[in-house]
Amino acid sequence: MRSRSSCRRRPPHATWLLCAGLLTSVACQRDEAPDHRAPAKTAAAPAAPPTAWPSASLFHSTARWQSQTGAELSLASLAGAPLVVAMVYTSCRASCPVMMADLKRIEAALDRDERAGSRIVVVSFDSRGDTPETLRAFAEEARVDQARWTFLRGEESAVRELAALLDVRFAPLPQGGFDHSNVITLLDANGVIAYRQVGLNQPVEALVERLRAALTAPSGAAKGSS
Amino acid sequence: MTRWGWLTAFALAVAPGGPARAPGVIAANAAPSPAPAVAPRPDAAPAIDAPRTDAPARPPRIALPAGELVPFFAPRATTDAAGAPATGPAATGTAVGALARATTGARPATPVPAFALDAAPVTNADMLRFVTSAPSWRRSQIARSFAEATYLSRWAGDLDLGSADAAAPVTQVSWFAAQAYCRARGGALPTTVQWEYALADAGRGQAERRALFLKWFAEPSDRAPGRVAQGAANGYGVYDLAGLIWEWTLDFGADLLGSEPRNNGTPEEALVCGAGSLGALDPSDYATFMRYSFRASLRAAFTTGNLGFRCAYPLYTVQLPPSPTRGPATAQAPRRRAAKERSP
Repeated sequence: MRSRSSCRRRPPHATWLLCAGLLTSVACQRDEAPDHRAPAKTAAAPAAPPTAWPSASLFHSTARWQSQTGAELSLASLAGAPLVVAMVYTSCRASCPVMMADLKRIEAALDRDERAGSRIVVVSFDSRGDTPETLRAFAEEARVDQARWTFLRGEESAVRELAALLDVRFAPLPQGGFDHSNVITLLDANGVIAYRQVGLNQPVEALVERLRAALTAPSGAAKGSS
Repeated sequence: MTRWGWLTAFALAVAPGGPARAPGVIAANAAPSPAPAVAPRPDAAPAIDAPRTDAPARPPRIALPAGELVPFFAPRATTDAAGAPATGPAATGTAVGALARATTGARPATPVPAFALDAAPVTNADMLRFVTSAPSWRRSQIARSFAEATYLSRWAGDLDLGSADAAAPVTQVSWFAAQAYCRARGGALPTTVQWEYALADAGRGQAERRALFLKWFAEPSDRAPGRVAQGAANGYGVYDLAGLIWEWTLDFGADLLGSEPRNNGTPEEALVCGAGSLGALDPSDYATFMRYSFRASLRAAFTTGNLGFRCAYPLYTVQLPPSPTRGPATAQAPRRRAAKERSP
């Protein structure tokens, strides 16, 4: 009763401020965790990569990959440029050639500077069947500019993790090969998903527009950590 | 071979942080053998060997024998290994094709090699030990790409369970965190086939299990789940596959790829009402539909209050040639256990 009458006697804006302050202090006490959106400021474990990426970046992944040149790298090694990422397997003869054609259409829609400032990353589902050599043969057969196209293969756990990050569904088929969904993902220079083009033979304007926006956006994170 | 022999065999065989190997069928007379030493993978979290102090003793891993599972959804035989279209009426990805597959009768069973499975879901206490040794998976440090903001939100803090029961299954974990936990213990999340195979329990108790699922669906889900291993284990010795929590699987998103392809652009599937149920093994099995639908609705970073996990481990044996100078293989077992108890 007493508090009620004292609330009534106080001017309204002070009451709201007081209640807001109480609510804020209660919320702050309950929420012990720091802001999840900010990069972690605590000292990371020795083996962890630098945590300069935004919290939603895919570059937090520590999975290791081999490229068509045999180089060992992580996804974060490709940081600093927008990435167009797709998943295929080299022995695939039906949907994957269409996917490669879609990627080439995206590349053709860019001008020379935009092409130089971005990279196309093609990742194989096939951990056992695809090696750097098969990837190199696949790249040469596709006649792509390997300075801007990177082909990756990795262990099953790495493939599962990347597919989970990109929301690509896949399942090995008993007769060999893979059943898989078809998604082309655009990552900005910090590894955050900027656009997902779902399905084959889709118009590329939306993805290209987002890629141009990603090229002009400032990149706040450190480049090239691995 | 006795159950303790099996347990010793895979306790020796599965080394923390070791590489995943293709599971093989256990030879009936295989003696327990030490696992070959393997270096931990560079991207694996450190292995867990801390002895439990406060949490109650938990059931061990269970070795499940090799067998087969008839898939609930008929696999789509529309492509061959190279992805080229297969031929025949049952091979199309349309609703007509699905009906053709459902009515042709023969449905090939999927072979399931022997594997080991956690007897009970991973608990809050287990997860606490994991995040204590792997800081990047703590609530305040995990990347948003690996878990949404509700990750472990029932806990009081990064390393503080608060009012969460240590012996209850850990929930509000994403697929990435669950998979990291399992890989740190030398395993991985079970595939959907492995998980459903464990649930199928070689055909035992189907009616009771279905009733248990339906009863669980009817309960409100605002409460945290109860403790693990409170009910009876199934015929394999595995607890809580039904009636406690939903569980992550390794390929949760691929369940419906084969029979109800989404995002592939075929218009025919959308024209038949209930086309997704065509080709199902038993259209009256609502519980199984719910499980498959639930898993298909997930994204890897999701966390929910009723979604937890358990781990599967490969099973393999090393056949040592007989040698008069080498003592019995079981002599290795106490030394390995002592090594585990020695680490803090």
